[in-house]
Amino acid sequence: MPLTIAEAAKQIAARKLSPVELAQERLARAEALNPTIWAFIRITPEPALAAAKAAEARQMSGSLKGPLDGIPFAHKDIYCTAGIPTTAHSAQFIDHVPTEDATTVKWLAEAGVVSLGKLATHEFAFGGPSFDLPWPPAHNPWNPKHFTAGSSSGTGAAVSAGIIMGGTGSDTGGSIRGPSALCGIAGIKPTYGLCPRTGILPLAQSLDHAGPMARTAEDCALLLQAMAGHDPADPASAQVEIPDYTAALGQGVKGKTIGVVRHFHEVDNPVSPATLAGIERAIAALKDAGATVKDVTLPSLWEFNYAGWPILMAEAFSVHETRMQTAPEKFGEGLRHRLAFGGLVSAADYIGAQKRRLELIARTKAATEGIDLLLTATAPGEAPPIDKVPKWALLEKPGFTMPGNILGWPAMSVFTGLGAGELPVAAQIIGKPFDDAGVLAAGHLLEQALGTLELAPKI
Amino acid sequence: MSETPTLETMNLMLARAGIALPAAEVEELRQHWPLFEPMLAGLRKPALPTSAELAVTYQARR
Repeated sequence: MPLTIAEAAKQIAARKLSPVELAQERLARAEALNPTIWAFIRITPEPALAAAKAAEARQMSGSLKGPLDGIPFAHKDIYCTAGIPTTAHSAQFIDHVPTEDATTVKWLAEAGVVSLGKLATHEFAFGGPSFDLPWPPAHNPWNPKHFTAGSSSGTGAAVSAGIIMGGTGSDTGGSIRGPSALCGIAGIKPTYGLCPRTGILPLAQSLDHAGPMARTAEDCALLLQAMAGHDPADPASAQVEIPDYTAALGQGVKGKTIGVVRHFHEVDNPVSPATLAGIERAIAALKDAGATVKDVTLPSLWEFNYAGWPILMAEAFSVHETRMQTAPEKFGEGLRHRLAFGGLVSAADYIGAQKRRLELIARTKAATEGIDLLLTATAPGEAPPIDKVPKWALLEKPGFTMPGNILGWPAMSVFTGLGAGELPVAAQIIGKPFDDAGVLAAGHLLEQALGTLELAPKI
Repeated sequence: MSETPTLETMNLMLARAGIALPAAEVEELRQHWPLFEPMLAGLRKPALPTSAELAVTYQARR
């Protein structure tokens, strides 16, 4: 089994694991596996080894910064990194070299992570898989002929393959939770505003969330601790007290009420038998742990998606309008066509979608009174073959992740097992605003109960 | 499912957004517009503006 952050941190603290040797081993693994899974756009050995040596010096002097010090890590290539190209996986930004780190990149570096490079993403975090970009799309380590989902595709692949122990993702319509589900790892889209987006190339600002991806909920808690906080440079950044997410993992779910949004995954977009079985195993585990579980009815998945996609596409077009009008050929076809639809959303339709969004939030709040957490699917099933992903799939069936973006509530993908194709399936836990700790605690409990921490791709 | 717009209509809509694409791409967008248009149509249910409306600005701080 690949080491988790929590396990590696203990070994580093006990001087049983050298951050430099760890970085060297993981850099070699990145170089060896990248021609198969294409998780990295750019591997950066020199700054990685410099950071690892600094971590090792702190290890030897007894001045480690904490559990992330010396941990192999990487950033999705929409997170700006000073002096290192940040391309958004696009020809449009192929020469873009930021002069400053994103706020979360800075905070994670201050916590001691060792960044091995920049990770593949769907172009500007939207669309994909695309085969007409300067780099190939990431492939799934469980079976490289299959899709990772996206847009944080490289992060999902690199964590799953045991190259990095954690990485950054972003989630505007499901881009953390989707690849976490299909790659069999953990990923949390935190509450809107909990992690600042300053220095992260935007997709759709009213839906964009930054967050961590890792093998386990515990590792996500460790990473979220470093990524959460107020940044006045992000107008949406929340000013809230940040709890100790790792300490809260032990709270479990005893005495909590879990609402199963059964109509999402049985009626609105029926899931595969393995996905459904995973959700039922999760329900049993939550009951065993002392939770009250009952069905809950929310607005349909279609309603969330009908409000979400016009908002997302219109905001994305506003970000890229000039590029679409002057050099559309420098986008991949998939993103170019989605942005074109975004340009056709009228002002009245955009305002209507935002009004609908507030109505959906109000209706969901009313329907979940007395309920602590929600449970449903993250994805309909296992990863499809990467060359058989329909270009317009997002418009054909309603996604399970858009409600979390519309609501702004914390939502996490939990690996529940393998399906008929020996590929991961997952469940999704959604919490109330700023109860990210409660979501992580439920995810932690489920990982232990379902035994999925014992599963890893044979690559 | 809504109707596929005419090529002339599709070209006009794209031109209004300042977007110029090759003919084959315009045709693909035209064919797939019926997947997206119902989302917009669903937002246009007629209503009398007689009550105070919800603020449009999303509130991040609670």
